[in-house]
Amino acid sequence: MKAKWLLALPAAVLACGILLVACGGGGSDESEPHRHGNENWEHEASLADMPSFLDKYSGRTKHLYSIVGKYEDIMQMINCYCGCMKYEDDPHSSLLRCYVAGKDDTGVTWTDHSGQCGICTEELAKIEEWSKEGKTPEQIKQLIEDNFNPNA
Amino acid sequence: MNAKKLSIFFGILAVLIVALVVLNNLKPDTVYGKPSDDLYPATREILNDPNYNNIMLPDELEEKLTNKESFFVYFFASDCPHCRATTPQLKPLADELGINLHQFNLREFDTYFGTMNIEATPTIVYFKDGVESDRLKGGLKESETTDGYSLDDFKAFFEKHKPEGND
Repeated sequence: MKAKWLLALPAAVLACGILLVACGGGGSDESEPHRHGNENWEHEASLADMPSFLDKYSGRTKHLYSIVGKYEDIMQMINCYCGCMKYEDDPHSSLLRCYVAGKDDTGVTWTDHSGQCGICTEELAKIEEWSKEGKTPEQIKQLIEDNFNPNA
Repeated sequence: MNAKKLSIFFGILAVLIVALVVLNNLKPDTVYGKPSDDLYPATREILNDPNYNNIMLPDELEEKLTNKESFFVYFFASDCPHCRATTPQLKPLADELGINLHQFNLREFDTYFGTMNIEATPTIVYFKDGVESDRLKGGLKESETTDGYSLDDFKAFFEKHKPEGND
């Protein structure tokens, strides 16, 4: 009879231990900010829906994320000169990638890369400024090259 | 008898698992106040880099502000390419000028982007008596055509504020 009790206690501790280890992994939710390499990604329905990680950043950064939808096409044809296009792992393809990591039928995946990046925000601020002055996408592309490409 | 043996077996197993869980939580903290596994990859890469040997944590920053101290803070992000280009030249300059340049890694503590209103990394802020009095937003100039500062600009900033306090 006593032996049975002796058995129950360690077995219980064992079960708790296994549970603890198993829970350590945790689940993940794409619509919550989650790490991807050095970036945090967050999935939203569209470019009009701002990611929650923006709460951490300055008003200027929030504004710039809010105009990505408006300048998406031009951002796609513009190079970013922060150094991200030379990453060994997963190099960025254009300035758009500094704000949006991906887009598909289910919505968009925002990245917080530009929240950290002076060049990425400055380039978009200039795109907005020059667009408001009536410059064409081709002119803006050239201006970005002239002002941001260190090898120009 | 049999049950007794089994209980000893389970007992040992349980002790081992508990020990493993405890050990797992006992990983030593890095200079960032958290274990290496919790850091971003870019931060792990600079852990042993002597150019990043004056790391400041949020608590230290808050304490200095509360105590109304006067000091320089280099707000950077470990994954920011411009910081990676700037730090190896800026840190030796600060050392040479006797500047206690505190290094705050915003990649690890990103809520401070908003708290300190940092729009881009790197940004150097000078706090006078616990209040921001001046800042340089941007890193080292890559070429004549691009934004940024020269080493002389940084030197002038350091020398301008050093007499006001360099805690």
